[in-house]
Amino acid sequence: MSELVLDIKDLSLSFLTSGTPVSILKSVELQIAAGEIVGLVGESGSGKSVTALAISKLLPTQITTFSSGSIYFNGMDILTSSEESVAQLRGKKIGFVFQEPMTALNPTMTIGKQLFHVIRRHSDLSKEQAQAKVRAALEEVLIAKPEIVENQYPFQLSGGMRQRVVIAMAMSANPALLIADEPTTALDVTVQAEILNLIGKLAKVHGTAVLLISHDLGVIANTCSKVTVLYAGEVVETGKVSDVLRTPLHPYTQALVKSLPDIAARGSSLETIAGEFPDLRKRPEGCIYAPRCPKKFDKCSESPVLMKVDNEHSVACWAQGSRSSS
Amino acid sequence: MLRLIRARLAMLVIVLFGVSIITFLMAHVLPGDPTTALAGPHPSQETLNSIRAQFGLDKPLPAQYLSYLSDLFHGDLGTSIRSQQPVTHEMLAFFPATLELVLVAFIVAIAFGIPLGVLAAVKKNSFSDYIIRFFAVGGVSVPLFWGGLVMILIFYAKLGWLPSSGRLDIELNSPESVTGFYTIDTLIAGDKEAFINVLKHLVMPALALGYVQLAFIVRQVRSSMLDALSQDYYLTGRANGLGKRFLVVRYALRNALIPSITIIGLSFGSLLGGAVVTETVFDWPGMGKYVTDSILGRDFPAIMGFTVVIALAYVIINLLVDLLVYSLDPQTRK
Repeated sequence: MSELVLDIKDLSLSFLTSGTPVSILKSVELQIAAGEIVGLVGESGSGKSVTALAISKLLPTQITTFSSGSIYFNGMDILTSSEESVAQLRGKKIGFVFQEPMTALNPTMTIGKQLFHVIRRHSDLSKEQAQAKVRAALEEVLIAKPEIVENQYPFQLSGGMRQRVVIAMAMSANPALLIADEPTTALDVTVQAEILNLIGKLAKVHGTAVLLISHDLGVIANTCSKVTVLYAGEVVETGKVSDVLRTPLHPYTQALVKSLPDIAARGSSLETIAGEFPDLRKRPEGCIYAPRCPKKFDKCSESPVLMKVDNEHSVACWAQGSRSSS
Repeated sequence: MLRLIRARLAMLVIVLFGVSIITFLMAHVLPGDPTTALAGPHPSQETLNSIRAQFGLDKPLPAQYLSYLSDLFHGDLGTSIRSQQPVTHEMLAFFPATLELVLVAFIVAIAFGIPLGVLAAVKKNSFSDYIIRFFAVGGVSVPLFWGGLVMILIFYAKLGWLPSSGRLDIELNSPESVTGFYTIDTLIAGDKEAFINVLKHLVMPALALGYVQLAFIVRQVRSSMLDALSQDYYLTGRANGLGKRFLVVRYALRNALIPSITIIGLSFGSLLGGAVVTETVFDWPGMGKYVTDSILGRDFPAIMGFTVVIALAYVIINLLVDLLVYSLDPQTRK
């Protein structure tokens, strides 16, 4: 296994909401090696985006408390590092692509200028060289007429085009890690495939480690080599995409996989998960998924830890633990 | 761009037309007749009739309006009943003084209001934010005349630093009128002493008038900035490692200015209204004092002339604001 670009260990954090701390992430573990594309999957509110923002220390400092754990980026401990040294990483070593291409670009600055300023910020290029790099960066994300696009404003471009520009910006300094937070959720399905291919291709060419956040298992299956499943701020299962999606071990992952629409089974109604997403203000004792779990038993009143099933596949479920041990 | 200007100019004509009808009607609907004010105590019916005929007040209302409108097109605002002088001349004499005061107040308000609004937003809920907001609330809620009087009490009566009234000390001669702005005219004349004296006279009225506007601008800019700072593009900019100052100015402020400028431009009207009060407090020889005296003397042509000129100034300022917004917002340039 090559060196880890990102190593999140036992990360727990909480937000201060109307005076009381609410636990958002609990003992999150996540590792990404160079050149690897890792998916982070979970429903809304499961803490995917919070995890992503925590890596770049972009969470609002006044309300965020880190209660345990560490985030290592290329061996540097992000959480204990100063704001200045983390700011040095942003855009240069860690690229970010957000969900909403429609609002992710400055509406009053041309595409070329926005790219230009990011490029100049992270390099010693002269103005002319940076200008040439703007053109090259737009070409690299397969924008057909960069000489026109660079003089346009965001509102003149389609969502797919804007997301390409956002990717071009995030990749312009050739970062070691690209964090893509639901990069295709706001886009058409056809455009979605193009954007995912683009991210995959760029990561391969530049050897970039990618954290791909999605609530869409299909997206994860097509793009990633590994996947981590998050539920209510806790990792419930992690492993190779082929293992986790083909033989899911956690009841939640199993339910997720089952709830995927199947073209072959037309006419049958979609599977849903019974019960409701837990209120994080009142995190239940024991297994967080237990209230919705069909396989719940006595042991579930204790919090499960991630247990290795085989070399790379881990699951946080007592039912699984007892089955493999029995 | 040209299309916008043309559309706005057409609007200007319509607005002025509306203003002329409204002022004309208001002047005639209000009880009280200028003839009685003019004729002195216990006039004979004959005197009243001859005065009415002299000002065309005996004709039917529509006819009076039409002749008023046609004069207006020729730049003739009528003849003041009190002074028997053409209103246009009197406007030209008084308007520059008001405009100078209002513009200086406006510039002061913008020059301090925008940076303070930005600071308050960037340092939200900090000590400096609270201080700035405290003074902003003060500016919006303290009556202008009271603030002006307190300033006179401190800086004129107690400290003796600044003059309390007028545009220039009486010992000094008024500069030769080129622009009507004493600040500029004294500079053109090369009279340094008079220039400094003019500035001293301007400080208090401009601050008193500008403070209200400044408070308004601070609040407006702060809230637009808070909105811009919470936008996705600002987060993208941060995630791309752009510098804080660059982000605040080119990402947040650049976008926050668009709604701010529109609203600041609209508030220019209240500044003109505030000038009337300020001029009374500081005995500033501008339109405000002139119109107050005209209203008390029921001098219809003067009141109507004032209203039309103020409406014109207001519409022109908003035309400039529209052009500014147009140049700031690429979406309107489509």
